[in-house]
Amino acid sequence: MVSLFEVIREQVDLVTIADRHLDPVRSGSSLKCRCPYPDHEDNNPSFYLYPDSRFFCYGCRRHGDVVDLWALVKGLRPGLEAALDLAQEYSIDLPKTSPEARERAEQRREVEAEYLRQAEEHHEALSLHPHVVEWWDGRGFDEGLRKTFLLGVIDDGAHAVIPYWSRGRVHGLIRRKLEKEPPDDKYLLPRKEKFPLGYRPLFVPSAVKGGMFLVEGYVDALALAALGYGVAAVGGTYPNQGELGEFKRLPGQIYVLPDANEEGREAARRWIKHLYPKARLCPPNYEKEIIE
Amino acid sequence: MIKDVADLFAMEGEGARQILEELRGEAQDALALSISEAPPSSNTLGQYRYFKAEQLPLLMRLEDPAERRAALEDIAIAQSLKRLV
Repeated sequence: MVSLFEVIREQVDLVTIADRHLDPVRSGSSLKCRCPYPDHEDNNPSFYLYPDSRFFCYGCRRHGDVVDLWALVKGLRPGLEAALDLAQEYSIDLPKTSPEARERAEQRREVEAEYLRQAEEHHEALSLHPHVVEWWDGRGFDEGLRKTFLLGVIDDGAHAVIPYWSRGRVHGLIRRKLEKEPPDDKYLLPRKEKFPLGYRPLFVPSAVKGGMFLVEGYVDALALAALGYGVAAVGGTYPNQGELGEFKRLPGQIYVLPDANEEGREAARRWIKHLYPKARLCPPNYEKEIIE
Repeated sequence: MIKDVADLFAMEGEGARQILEELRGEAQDALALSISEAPPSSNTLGQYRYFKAEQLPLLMRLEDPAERRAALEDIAIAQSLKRLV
């Protein structure tokens, strides 16, 4: 069941609200402006708006989504009050939900906010573990990208850590082994009951838009998001029921980019059959020569 | 060997974009892929079984009858199965 917060996030662009109230300017793939929080005197713009519909202030460390921004600019209580007001402003039909369901949705937001706080801590901890910084650099994720995606380190430097991004919210933390140790998987995920939704959602570290790529791995997805593409990752070869439902809500055509191995190809073929006619399979020919 | 997008990005950085655009341009849907992998036209029974198992379920997913008809004709022409149409 999609919560009212998710419906609003899908239908109201953070940038629309920012353009109306904050006068942001472009900064790479993001927008930035002075922090609008009244208790933060921000002379050097440090309030960033990211393509996956979240904001983060590098000065006062506050963060949030379109509902939080609406609460801020309209002086409303964050959460349900701001969500209902925003839905009314943009004539959004919200799903009929019980008061209990709305309360659960608010509680989920609190859990997501706590995961984001933890992700920030793990990102800050990178300064203590240069070998993990080197590992991220080696994967193409420089300081700017590490900051954008809050990539970090965990377990006293034993693992890299990736916030489980899903449409601008953090749903958990993914441990990434620095070296693959067969036969284990390279990712260590939280148990499904630890996810705010009660299942592992699609990993979506980018804006949701038409023509998205679909991949297996979380670092694959981060790489595509870093290049400015819309992307979702399954985190394996078998999507769960929740992920299958989310596939159908993704707008437009989906382009599947499989791993270049037998298991990856087989999985991708299953996905495009399941998602026909919405999905198309790209050949995993990653060693094409770049035409100069 | 570059085995996935993460490897491609690690090696090429921004240059990966050009390869990704080319791969996206070559993408095929499940029906087009099934046509390219159909048994040879000399194997009539194999073609019929393949159509029933692999292609008919895909056709049934097309909601627009005109689109379904066009896809069926594509299959018939590509696989020399004109009697099916």
